[in-house]
Amino acid sequence: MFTTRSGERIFVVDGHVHLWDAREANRRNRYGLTFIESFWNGHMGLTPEGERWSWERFLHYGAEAAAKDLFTDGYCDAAILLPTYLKEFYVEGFNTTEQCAALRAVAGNKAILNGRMDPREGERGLDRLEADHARFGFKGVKIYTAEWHGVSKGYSLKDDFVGRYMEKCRELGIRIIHVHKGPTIHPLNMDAFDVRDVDHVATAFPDLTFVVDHCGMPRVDDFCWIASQEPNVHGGLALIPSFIHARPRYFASMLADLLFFVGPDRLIFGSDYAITSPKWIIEQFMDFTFDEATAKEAGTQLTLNVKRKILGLNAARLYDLEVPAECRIAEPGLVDAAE
Amino acid sequence: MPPSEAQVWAALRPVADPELDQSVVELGFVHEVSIEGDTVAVAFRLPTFWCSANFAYIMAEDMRAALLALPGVARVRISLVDHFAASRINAGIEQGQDFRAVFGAEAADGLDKVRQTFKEKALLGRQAALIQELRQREWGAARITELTVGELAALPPSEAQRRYLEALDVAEPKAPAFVDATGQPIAAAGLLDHLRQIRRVRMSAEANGEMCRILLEARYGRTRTNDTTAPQGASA
Repeated sequence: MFTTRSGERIFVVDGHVHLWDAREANRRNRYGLTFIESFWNGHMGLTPEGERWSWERFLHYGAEAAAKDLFTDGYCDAAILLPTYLKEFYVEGFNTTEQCAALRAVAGNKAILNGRMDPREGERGLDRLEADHARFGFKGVKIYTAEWHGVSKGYSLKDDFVGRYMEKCRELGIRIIHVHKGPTIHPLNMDAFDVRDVDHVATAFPDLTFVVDHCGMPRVDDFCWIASQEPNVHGGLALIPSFIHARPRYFASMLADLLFFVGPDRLIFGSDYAITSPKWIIEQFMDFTFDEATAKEAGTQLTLNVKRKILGLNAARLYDLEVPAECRIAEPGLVDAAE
Repeated sequence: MPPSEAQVWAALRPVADPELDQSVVELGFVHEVSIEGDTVAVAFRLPTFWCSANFAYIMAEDMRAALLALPGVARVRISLVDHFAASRINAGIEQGQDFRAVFGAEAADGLDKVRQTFKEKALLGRQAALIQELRQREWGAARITELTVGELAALPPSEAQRRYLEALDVAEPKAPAFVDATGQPIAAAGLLDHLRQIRRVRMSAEANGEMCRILLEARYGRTRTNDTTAPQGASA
């Protein structure tokens, strides 16, 4: 919960957090090191000077520290954990459902644990998803189309083996599919950042909601187009709010385009913790306004209601979270066409 | 006679990161050039260990071609450093090999499609910059959409005009100057909508460029390249 200077209470959901282990003992090979180094460079480049971590803390911070950063210091009422396995790089995985479950043990229901699936795993993967769901009870799952898997360096949502997994989600009552469309690893000849395959699966499964994480960055332009066509596609902002300190002008431009093409009801805040932390991002965001030209581009100013939606109400609606009455807004625009 | 260092940097400057449509020199990707007789060696580095191999290959191919076009250059050695595919890319470029030959089964297609996609995006991004410039000069929609390639080329020169004409690459002077992604002329009544659509292409590329600069700086610090010809602050 964030309280403004004039006393308004803002419900906050961090829609994109991780609990990872990149310590040396867990690294399988040099790729494990280079992967976390890329994250580290993002952390150092985006975070204000006084808020930067030590390398050791960045490698492994643990559930207690995460709970403090998110819920005590970071204003979050809930946080959505998105697992990333990367078992080709890390012995026990980088940020598995199992590892993420440690935050739930500390923070209870404030930690929303999502599952993970990889449609390339065939029958075994379907059984695994079902077993994980029986154990943890997911509302959403994360997929990572650019992840290594044996000889495969990634796949497309247009691949014919994907549909069965979507059907399985539907059957299990998992209605939210997070698709990582952002910086990738080992991208080769195809444009691995391509977001247009989301269009395909969103049309085929109109009753599921697809959250495109990182809004497709570096393909925000293509994402804007797809999301404007498909009402069941949402934008997971993670990475974009992290620009607010180091590149405020570009943060404003990206958000303006997203507000114009996607609208304020389908954008979900994310800090991409622990690359960056919610505390300073939210403080800066609550003070942030568009200049006149940017507000015109966006079709709206960053009003308190727009901020409320982005910071928490949109995610709360998607994940069925109870929002205290003082934090709600009543207006017809809040009811999404897709729901 | 071997080329001067200044000539080498000048030849590299027009080479762009295809995804960002920005110069590899201005981005700070090229960090060292050296000349020995008729051989030019270039070292370049990218914002992450994991940057796309396809884009890296395109940049390396284009740098090689730009340098081979210089008088007095017989051999070019491109060294990408600190990258997951560095050794394969460097060897492939040295031997003038096709991307597919280098990456074998991992590369289902060549680079033509990726090149084409980003050429189209670059064109639209540059068009957005030029149309905005004309609008700032109080040009109305009809005057903009009726402009021909020949008339555009005859306007007082500007950076936006030069960059757009270079990307447009249309020889017919009577052809419309501004077309959409499918090559259709733009109606005056639809200009603002069209502009709003293509502005996001430009915004996206620019924001990505900033991400690359942030990561490159975090990775290597504010180390200068050995480019003594760069204008002050060009890669800030």
